[in-house]
Amino acid sequence: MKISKGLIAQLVVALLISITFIGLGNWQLNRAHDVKIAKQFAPDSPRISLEKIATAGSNLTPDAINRLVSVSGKYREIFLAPKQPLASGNKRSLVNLEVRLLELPGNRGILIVRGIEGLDDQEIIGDVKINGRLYPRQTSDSTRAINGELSRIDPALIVGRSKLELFDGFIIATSEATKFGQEILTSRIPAPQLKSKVPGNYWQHISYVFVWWLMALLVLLAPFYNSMKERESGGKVRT
Amino acid sequence: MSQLNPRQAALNGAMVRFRIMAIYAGVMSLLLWFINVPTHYLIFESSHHYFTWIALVHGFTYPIYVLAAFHYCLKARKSLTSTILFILAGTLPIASFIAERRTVKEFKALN
Repeated sequence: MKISKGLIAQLVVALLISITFIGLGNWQLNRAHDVKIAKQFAPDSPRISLEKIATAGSNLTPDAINRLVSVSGKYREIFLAPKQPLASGNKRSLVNLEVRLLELPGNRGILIVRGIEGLDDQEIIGDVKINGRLYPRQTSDSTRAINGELSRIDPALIVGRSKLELFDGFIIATSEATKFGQEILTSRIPAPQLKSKVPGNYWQHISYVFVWWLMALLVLLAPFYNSMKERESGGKVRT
Repeated sequence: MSQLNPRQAALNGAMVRFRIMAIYAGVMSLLLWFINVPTHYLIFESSHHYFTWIALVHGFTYPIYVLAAFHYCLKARKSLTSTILFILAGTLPIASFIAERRTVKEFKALN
């Protein structure tokens, strides 16, 4: 069988496009997996040290989101996150939240939402042990921020002003205690399990997997399309 | 019912299947673009959960449209470019209706 250079070139192009489509199908498969994990209502697992489920400088894994965590360190900086939505029962209100940067051993840091902004900043010196829930970084701004404010709770916003290697996401503190075990009180906010923000649902993404893989298959058939037409019509092809 | 010539008879089954799927895909595309997507990102977002089935059903049935379009184009001996356009027509509202009208016109022209 004689194979022309043109056919080989077509095959190579078709193969590259097909691999791209298979990759897009795999991407949808991963998204389906992420959605499945994010939407699972799981009873809270036992509290775990932050460092066991997350690494500074890396994205949070879906498994780490919503986990109850504990972490110890020293507060370094104070920020205000204005106009943050707070759901209480059926009511939604906007509040100003106090966010602090906690320094962990090893030159690492994470943002801690302590609660609703107080009239004056509490001075907290020395090591603090924090219990709370780990959330992914916010991706949309709540307001236009001025100096010392965070338009959203996102470590990316403070990367330039801190030398610490930051953990992705943030923790809403449910309790804080000094190294002597004395509890630090403030106006806490609820820290419920987060519902999935990954668009779509599991089966929708699976359907897209089928579409992309079908497209990959059809692209592979493209170089043979004319000969298929020829066979279909039983003679020379009209194009 | 008028008699079909041999060319039309050979194409008839694939054409009917394509027409059904083109109308269906057109309706689903309209629902997707003008109900599902706006309620997800723009307006009445709280009502979106009523319409999640649209994307799901469209996603699972679009491959059937693709296969119907591919088979029809093969039978009708269309060029590769036309075949690609016919397949993509299922993703845009109205485009698949236009494709469906075109097939009817071409089918009649075979007389």
